This record gives sequence, structure tokens and C-alpha cells, in this order.
Amino acid sequence: MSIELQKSAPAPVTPVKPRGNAALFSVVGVLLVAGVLVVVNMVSSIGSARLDWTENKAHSLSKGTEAILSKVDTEVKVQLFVSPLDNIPPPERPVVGEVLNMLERYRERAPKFIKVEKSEVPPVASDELEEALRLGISNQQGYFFGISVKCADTVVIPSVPALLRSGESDNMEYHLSRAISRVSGARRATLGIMSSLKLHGDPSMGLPPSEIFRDLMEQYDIRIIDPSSVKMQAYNAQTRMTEDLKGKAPPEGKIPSPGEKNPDGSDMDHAVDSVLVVHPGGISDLAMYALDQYILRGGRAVMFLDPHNSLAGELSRNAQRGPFGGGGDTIPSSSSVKKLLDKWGYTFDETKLVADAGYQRTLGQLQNGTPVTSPVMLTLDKDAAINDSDLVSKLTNIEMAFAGAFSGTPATGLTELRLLQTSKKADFVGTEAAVWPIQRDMSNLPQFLKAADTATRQMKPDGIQKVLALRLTGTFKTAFEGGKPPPPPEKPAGGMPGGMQGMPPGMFGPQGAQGDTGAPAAPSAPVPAETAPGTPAAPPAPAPATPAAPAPAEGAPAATPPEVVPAVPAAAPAAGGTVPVTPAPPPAGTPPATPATDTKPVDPNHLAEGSAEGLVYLISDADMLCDVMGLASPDNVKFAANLVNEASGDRNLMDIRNRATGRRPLTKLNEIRDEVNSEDSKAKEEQDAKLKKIQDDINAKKSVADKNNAYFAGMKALLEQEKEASAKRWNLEKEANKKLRSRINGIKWYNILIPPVVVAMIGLIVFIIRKSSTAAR
Amino acid sequence: MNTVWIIFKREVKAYFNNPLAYVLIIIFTLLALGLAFLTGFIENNDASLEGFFRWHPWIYMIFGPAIGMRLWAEEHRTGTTELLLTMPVSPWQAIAGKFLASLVVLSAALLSTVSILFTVSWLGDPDWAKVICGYIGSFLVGAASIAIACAVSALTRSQITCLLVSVFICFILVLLGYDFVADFFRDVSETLSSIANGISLLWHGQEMAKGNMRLQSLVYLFSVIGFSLFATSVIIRTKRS
Repeated sequence: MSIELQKSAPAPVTPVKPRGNAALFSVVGVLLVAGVLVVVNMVSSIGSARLDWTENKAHSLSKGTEAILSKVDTEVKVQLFVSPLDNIPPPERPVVGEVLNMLERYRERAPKFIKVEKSEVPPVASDELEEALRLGISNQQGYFFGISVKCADTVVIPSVPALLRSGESDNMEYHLSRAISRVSGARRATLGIMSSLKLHGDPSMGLPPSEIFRDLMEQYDIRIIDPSSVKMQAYNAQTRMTEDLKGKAPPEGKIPSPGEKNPDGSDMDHAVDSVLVVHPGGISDLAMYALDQYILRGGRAVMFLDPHNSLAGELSRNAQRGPFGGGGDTIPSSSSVKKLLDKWGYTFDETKLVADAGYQRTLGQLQNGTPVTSPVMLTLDKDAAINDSDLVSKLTNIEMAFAGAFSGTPATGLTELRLLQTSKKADFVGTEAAVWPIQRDMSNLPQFLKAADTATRQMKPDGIQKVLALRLTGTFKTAFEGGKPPPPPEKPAGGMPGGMQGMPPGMFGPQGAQGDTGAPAAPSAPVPAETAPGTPAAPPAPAPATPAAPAPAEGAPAATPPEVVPAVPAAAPAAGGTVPVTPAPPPAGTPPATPATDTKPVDPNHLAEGSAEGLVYLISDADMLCDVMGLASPDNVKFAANLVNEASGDRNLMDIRNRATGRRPLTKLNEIRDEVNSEDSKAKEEQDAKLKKIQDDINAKKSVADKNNAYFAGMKALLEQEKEASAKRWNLEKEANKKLRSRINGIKWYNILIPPVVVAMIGLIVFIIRKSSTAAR
Repeated sequence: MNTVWIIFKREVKAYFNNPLAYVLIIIFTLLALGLAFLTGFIENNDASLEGFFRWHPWIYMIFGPAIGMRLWAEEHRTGTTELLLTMPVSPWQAIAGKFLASLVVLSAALLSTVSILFTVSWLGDPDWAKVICGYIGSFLVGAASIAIACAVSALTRSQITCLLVSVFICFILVLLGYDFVADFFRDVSETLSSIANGISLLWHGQEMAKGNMRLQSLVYLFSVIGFSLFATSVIIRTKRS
């Protein structure tokens, strides 16, 4: 028997691996690959190739910067003066790298013209130290960290850390680009600023220049325009003082426009490219006329008006307490340009504040956790921006306080663009709600809380959004048909008109001129009714009823008579002609008006209608620019500066400024807070109704004696009721706060616990399915 | 590719038929969401997820090794490595299949945190592109930590050892980007500080969470992944030979 040998499977043929593979997969190969990867990583770290996923492109140079850099055609040296790293506190050190990275991006964009240099400033005497000190680079924190940008001119950013600490970290690019734009030959525009708030500061009062002023000062040549006399002064950025204009001053009561000519045909000096008006409290007719004519000549104005301005009150109080017994001027707390607004088709009620439950700001927390909020202090998010205009669409945190609102429709020839509006939960409340919440010692916090609570309960939102900011463009018509009004009377020396220094106005003398005390204006030359040129004169219409002045309290001096505006038939004045003006008799019951039969020459340059398209921005709050009061958030300053840049025609800088990311607040939290508060509003209304009944009962008494008796008798009950109501309201607030915290905690814990539970359930289901399928087998 | 797919499916089943994957995902979700919400996500009043993403590199320091530790260590322990590699499967295919399966676990973990997206979109208006960039960055950092663990697991039979060593390596790579460490390096030299940032998982993750997807970050993270998998391949081949 033969045993057949089973043929065994052929031996596998091991392929001969190339030597290269063995080398690659050896330790040497690993090191080689590691080395290659290190080199690749080093190469990739050079330069700044990146993909910027942020909506506002926060990590890239903006189009505005690129546009500015593309126009640079001379060498610009950007020099970073920085102390050695050892001398810089650790938290600031990463900033050095970030700033250098940013400068490197600038250099990459325009390598031919932008030169970047880093100068390390040692703490000992050296050329670098001397240069830094000469340039004014700040070393207030004990180290140098500033930037100089030099070409034909030199702009210095003296302290980068201070800039970053102010919350403008995203605007490092803005300041750099602005500096480059300025030094590389771009024409510096002129900006006129008209304000009763001393935005440029007042060393005698210890008032520093405001944030918006400092921002604009870097960009513009500033002219300070008095809101009463329209006198224009130049602002010297070196001395930080105002000084008289050099050369030929503009005519009285005039704001020159670019390209405007003198009567002799020469260019008018001191033309202003745009005007910023901020709280022109007590603005004179002459100033309004100057603005009116400036806009009619194609001028551009940005106007921040205010029904209640906190800084005005502070400045007035400081002026009263000032040196030499006080006697300084008071600034009206409200401001408007009524005559101009009336002509443009709008009203701005200076006695009303906007209260908005949808945008109310949370200012902080009490020690017990109760949030401190007020519906008259607003934080506007992107939803408040009405359109996609670059002016507002990228700003996410505009803060307003004690703002008003504009109502009306644009007059013929004008186009309106609304910029900011309230939510649908807004209403108007009285100016008594305007209590500034934070004194240094928090002493007025109870008043603030009470005012906020009262405003909340007074509100009855009608679902209509109120307009907070808008733009008007088009052909404006003059609000001064009769021509240029007379200048306001000069204020007496010593500040207090007609009175003793340090005493309240009018105590020992007549009332002051318009604007000093906020009293109604003395009637100026009456304004004739509007008639088209060449049309026959219409018969006189009865003068519109004006609200009578309140009956003066016994012993007080007589109030000045209210302004009477009679309708007077008159043809529109021809240029150079005179207009006879005769007032119609005032309605019965009104105090006699100051007689004003007058004939005055009309300025030959007076315009009845715009000769070019004008532009006006109207904003219903000026507190938003008052950083002295802690109200000027970074987005507020950006917003204001954007408007000025837009008005001045400088969009590049606006583009850079807008590119800042800003915060995206959790707006839903406000709604939740509002819902929680509204649950208790019924109880609060009941408390208010009780208090009102007591007051009504008192008022129902006929005689003064009975009223007084009832008042004193009811007073005790009133106080007890109020105490009980306050205690109940406090408890309601506590409950509301607990509910709010509970809802927020609920959101947190639902998010933390539910997903893991879902995952566990999925795992369980998979396990059960697998178990059942395995069992089935 | 078919082989990769087969190995991939096998590994995915192995992960999800085991309670370990679910436990890991639950722990990841609890940590990621808990750390975000309990460290002021709502109180900061900012509809940005930077406060959510900034914790991820620290979580991956442990989560990544926990996922990756069983990839090869388990095979070594049970002796199935040789069996696997004698099949008509190249080491690369096995490595790719296993690594991709681990990425599925990572993806499931990230997916379980989507509730925060609904919450933040309800509370405010986030920048969605930035959020997506943050998730991409988180995924890549997680993948890098898993790849490191994969390489370490190829070296040892013990999963515990693999876990400890991988955690240590990831810890170093995360710590290099931490503030006080970065300051320390900056004291010594600006260049050293740049290098430390450049190799820090934390720094790259934070940059991407801000919406800043640098080429440097992408190159680095893919380099770490690629190099770790390559090192795994070298180790496997060396052991096999």
C-alpha cells in the first residue's frame, strides 16, 4: 500500500519588502517623519493664513483697514515702544504678542509702505527711553507699551493697555488704522460740536474730556460752537483748551459750510464739514437758525436730544457749588430743537421718557440677589436696529438712559430712515422716573428702586414701537421764515443773571435769559405764517392757544409770559427785503406778550429752501454719551462716532469700528424677567388702587380747611398703607426674584441632566434589543 | 477600503455593545455641559459658546485616552493582534478602521451636547459659523488625543498603563497653553512661548473656539493625528516582526 503523500500547501511566498519600507518604519523613519512634520508646522506658523469664521471677521483686517492701507503711498513707520517682558505684568504680556501679530498683518498688507519696528525701552537712560518720553508714551503702570505712527505727522497711542482695559480691545485696529489714515496725508475734516455739556472738558470743574470727544479729537479738527451765541472757538488738542479762531471769524450766528463764499467772493474761513449737537440745553433761536441754514446749504448734522439729561443736572449742581460762592449757570435738563423738528414734521416731547420692558437694563444685584433694573434705562440689542444699515446693525449693546422718542412723519421733500426703535413693550412715563441709580454711597438707591417700580406699573404698552433714532435726508425748508432772529441777550458777568451770586435765579432780580433757567422763552420777534412766495396774503388766523403758564405761587416773582406765536399774513420775503411784522392780538386769558412790532433786515444769504441735499441724524438720548456718569458704553461711543463718520463721509473708519464683535447678550433673560414680574403686577396694582382711593377721598373735600384736616387725618392712614404696601411689594420682589432664579437654575439643570439621561436610555434600549435578539438565537 | 469598513464596523459594534462607550459619553456630557453652565455661562449674558468649548481640551485629556486605550492594548492582551495581522489586512487598514471607529464615539459624545445649541439660540443670537468652527476644533483636539492614546496602546498590553501614559502626554500638551505656563515661557523667551503655544492642544482649541481657524492649527492637529497613527503603525510592525 502506498501512502500517497499529501501534497502540502505550497509555502507562502513572502514578498520581499523593499528596503525603503524597513527604513521608513524604523526608529530613524519615525524621527525623520517627525522632523518633516516639525518643519511643516514651522512653515505654517509663519504668516497669518487663517479662515475667519466670525460674522464680524474679528480676526482679519477689515475692508476699511485694507481700503486705508491701499491708499497709503508714502512710507509710514509704526513703532511699538514696549518695556522688556520682565518689566511687564504677566497678564499684559500676551497682549504684546497680539499687538505684534496685528502690526505684522498691517505690514503684510502693504509691505512697501508700512514699516513695523519694535523698540524695547529699558528702564535706564537710553535713546529708546528718550524717544518714548518725547513722544508722550505713557509709563504710568510702570512700564512702556505704546505705539507711534509716523509719516508727515505723528500720532501716538500712548498706552495700549489702557486702551484695552477700556473695553476697546476689538478697536485696536480702529485706532491703528485711524492713525495711519491721519498721518499719511488724508485731509483732516473739521467737526463743529455744539453742546451744553462741555464734552471737551472743563479743567476748572475738574471735568475731563468725554470719551466721544477724545475719539473724535483724534480724527477731526474740532470747533466748539456755543449753543446760545453760536460763537465758534477752535479746540487745541495740545493744550486741551479752546482758543479764538485764527484768521477771519465767521459772521455772527453762522456755521460756515464747505465751499461757502464770503460776500467778496473769497472762501469763507473755518468751514465745518459736519456738526455734532449734544444736549443743546437752552439753545437760542440764533443757534437753531444757524443750524437751520447750515443744513439747508447741504450741511450734515448729528443731534443728540434729551428729555432728561443726568449730566446737565450734575454740571448745574457743581456750578452752583463752584468757587467764589457758586453762581454758575444752570443747564436745562431737557433739550430739543423744537422749531426745526416742527418744520421737519416731528415732535419730541421733553416731558416724557421712554420706558421699555423689553430692553430694560439690569444694572446689578442687591445683596439679597434681587436684580436692580429700570425700564427707563435701556440696553438695545440687534433687534432694536430697524434696518441693515451699517450704522447700527453690527452694534449689539447700545445703552440709553432716560431717552425720549420721536413721532411724526417727514415733511415734504424729506426722506426718513429709522435706525433704532424700542420693543413692542414700550410706553411713555413722566420724567420723575429719571433717577440716577448709583451715587457713590448708594444713598439714592431706594429712590431709584421706587422710581423704577413706579415707572413699571405706570406703563401700559400699546404694542407700538417708539422711534429712538432716525435719519432725515433731502431738501430741507427753513424753520425761520422771517429770517435771522436777533442774538440772545448777553449774560451778565458773574454768571447769575440779574441776581446775587450764589442765590437761586430770580430771588433778587428778574429772570435770566432763555436757556439759563429752563423757563419758557421770552417771546422773540413773531414768526409769520408760512406762505408760498408770490401768493396773496391770507387773512390772519387766530393765534393758536398756547398752554398758560402755571399760576405762580404766592410770593414768587411773576413768571415770564409764555411764547405767543400769532399767525401774521405776509408774503415770503424777497432776498434783501424787509418784512413788516405785526402780531395778532393774543387770545383772551393769556398774559400779555412782549410787544414785538419790528422790522429787521433779512440776511442776503438767507435760504428759505435747501440749495443742496442736507442730512440730519436725530437721536433721542444724550446720556448715552456721558461717560462721566458711567453711561457711555463702548457701543454708544462707536454708534455716535459712526454717525459722525457717516455724516463726514468717512466710511472706511466706520467699517473698521463696526467690525468689532461686541457682545451678544442673552435677550431672552429680559423676557423671562418681564414674565415673572408681570405675574405679580396684579397684586401691585391693587396696592396702588388702595393708595389712590385715600388720595381721592382727600381731594373730594370742598374747603381748604376740610381738605387739610382730611389730609392730616388721612396722612397717618396713608403712611401706614404705604408701609404695608411697601412691605408687600418687597415680598413680591423677593418672590419674583426667587422665581427668576428658579427658572434660570431650571434651564441650567435641564441642560446638564437631560442629555446624559437620554444617552443612558439609548444605551439601555440597545442593550435590551441586543439581549432579545441574542436570546432569540 | 472594504477591509477598513469591515474593521470599522466590528470596532463600532465592540464599542457600543459595551457599556463603556455609554458611560464615557455620559461622563463627557455631564462634564462638558456641567462645567459650562456652572461656571457662569448664563450669568455672563453672552450668546457665545467660548465658555463651553474652553473646557473641552481638559476633558479630552482623559476622555481621549479612555476611548483610545482599548484599541490595541485589548488586542495585545487577548492575543488577537497576531491573528488580526495574519489576515489579509495591512496594519494601516487595521489602524484606520479602529481609529475611525473611535471617532464615531467622539462624534456621539459631541452630538450629545447639542442641547446647549438649542438653549443658546433660544436665549440669544449666537454666531453660528463661530459655533461650527468651535465644534470642528473640539473634534480635532479630541481626535488628536485619541490618536495619541492609540499610539500608546500599541505599546502596551495593559489598558491602565496606556490610560495613564496617554493622560500624561495629553496633560502636557494641554498645559503648555495654560496662562501661567505660557507666562513662564514668555519670561524665558518669546520664541519659546510661541513654540509652547504652537504645540498646545489648549491654545489651538481656544483659537478655533473663537472662530479663528488658523492654518497653523489645522496643520498641527492633523500632524499630531497623522504622526500618532504612523507611530502606531511602526510599533505594530515592529512587534509583528
